[in-house]
Amino acid sequence: MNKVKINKKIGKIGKKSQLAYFQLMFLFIRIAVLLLVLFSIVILVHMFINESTNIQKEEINMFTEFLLYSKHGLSHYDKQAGRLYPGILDYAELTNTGLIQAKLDYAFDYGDYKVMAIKFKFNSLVPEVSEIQEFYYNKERYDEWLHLTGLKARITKQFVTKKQRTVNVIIRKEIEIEGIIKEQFFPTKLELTMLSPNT
Amino acid sequence: MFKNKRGITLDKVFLVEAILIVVVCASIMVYIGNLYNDTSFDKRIIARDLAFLADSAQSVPGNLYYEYTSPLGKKDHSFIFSKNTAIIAEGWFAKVGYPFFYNKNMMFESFPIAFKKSFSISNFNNVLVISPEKRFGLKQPKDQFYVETPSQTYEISETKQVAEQTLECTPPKLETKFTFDIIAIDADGNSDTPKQNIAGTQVEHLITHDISKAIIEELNIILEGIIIETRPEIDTTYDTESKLLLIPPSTSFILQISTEQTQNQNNNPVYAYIPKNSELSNYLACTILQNLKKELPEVITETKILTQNQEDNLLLYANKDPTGVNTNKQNLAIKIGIGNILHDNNLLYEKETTNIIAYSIAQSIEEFQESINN
Repeated sequence: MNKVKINKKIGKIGKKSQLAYFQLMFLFIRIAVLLLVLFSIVILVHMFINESTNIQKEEINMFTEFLLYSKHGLSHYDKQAGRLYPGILDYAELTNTGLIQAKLDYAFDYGDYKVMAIKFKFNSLVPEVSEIQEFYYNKERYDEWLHLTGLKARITKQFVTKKQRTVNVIIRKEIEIEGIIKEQFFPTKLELTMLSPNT
Repeated sequence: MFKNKRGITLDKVFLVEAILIVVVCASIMVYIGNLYNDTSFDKRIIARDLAFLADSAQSVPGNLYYEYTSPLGKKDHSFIFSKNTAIIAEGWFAKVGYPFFYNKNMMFESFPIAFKKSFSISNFNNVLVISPEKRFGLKQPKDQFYVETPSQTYEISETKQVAEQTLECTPPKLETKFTFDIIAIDADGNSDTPKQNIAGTQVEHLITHDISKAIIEELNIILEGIIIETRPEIDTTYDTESKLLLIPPSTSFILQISTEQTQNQNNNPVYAYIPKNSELSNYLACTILQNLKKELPEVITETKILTQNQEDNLLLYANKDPTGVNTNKQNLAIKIGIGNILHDNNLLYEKETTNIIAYSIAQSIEEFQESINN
């Protein structure tokens, strides 16, 4: 009984005209899938190229290492002894925004090709450290690029990658007590937020 | 097969689909094939590699020497390093570049690397050198460190005694008003064998460029409406073949900044070289030296004005009108020789001092313009 019903149904579907329309519908789906595969391959290849050529992560790492380990960076450098103290930053220097700005601009001159902008922020509960204001490398571009980091910008405009790195540093402050200059050290975290446009 | 109407429609659609599949497959193959043959992808990677190499070389705390070999393994590539961009090119064309930072605290010297598989990069004592051959710093044979002292090639002018003893500069009387329309500033020392200290860490043209740039900045503030001609990267103010100055003909003043290189260790004078019979140049030179001595009394102890005795660009410049003395604008030319690059550390290597030098020179030019027209 059931077999007869099924055969009747198959027989109805199996009519040539109905089969054609039925298959035609799947045909469009197949074409759509085909195009999807095609675009997927193109996107995958592009992703592979971007992934292979993207050095933004390395750039921020190197920038941070430079700041900490080079005498032209932010670490305290004793000119007379010719000795660098990696990771120890001068309080007097950090509170002089103009000086720190000039130092960064002088050490990292990208000329006309600005490839990154960085915000420096100290995170600490120590009052002396919280007095230090955040400062920037390439501030103009930082403000401009900050709006281009969202998903919307990724689709509509040129996308800017945002990367963060936190490093442990020590802030060295010279204080004068009864005519004698003494050093105070404050351990803190330096947070670097880098913005870099995707090339 | 195609006689049945319904069958025809369906088969046609399948045919279109089959063609589409073939086209898509062919496109993918062509796309991948192009990627395989196209070297732009490789060049993009290598350009970044080169830029990152330059970044790293400038970031190391100590000294560094590294030999880079192209991963492409071919000799038909050229590598070009300007101050901010690393470029890889096939031959000299199809260039792909990527920016790297330039640490201005260092000196940068790069040589063309053409059709080479490898090159060297070194950072010794804050001198970054990129060269096809193994090279550390700006090393040269020892005998090239010393040149003849300026006193052997220049003769002391009659006016020198007055300038040296009293430093009282008297402005010459002019019939017409003098204005600086165009000033040409030439940072001297950009040659294959530049003057430098023994360690190779201080090179003349880098010092003179810094001073020239600072002078330009000062002049732009204090003198309005003047045009300053300068070519800080290449020394092209004088063409040795045509023996002509490559500056606008209406230039009213040419100023050349140079350093000396002598074996005298201490108390090296600051020299001002002027063309013969140029009272204007003599007066301006006197003003400059006076201001320099006033601003840097501890570092500059002696100054001298010397008249040129050999043919070079200043003399040629002055000889455009040999008879003109007072009213001839083109006769105003001065070459300032500041300090001895081998020994005058305080005068030449300190940024603060070179800025004061630039400031003094710019102020002198302003003073000169004011006093000469009153």
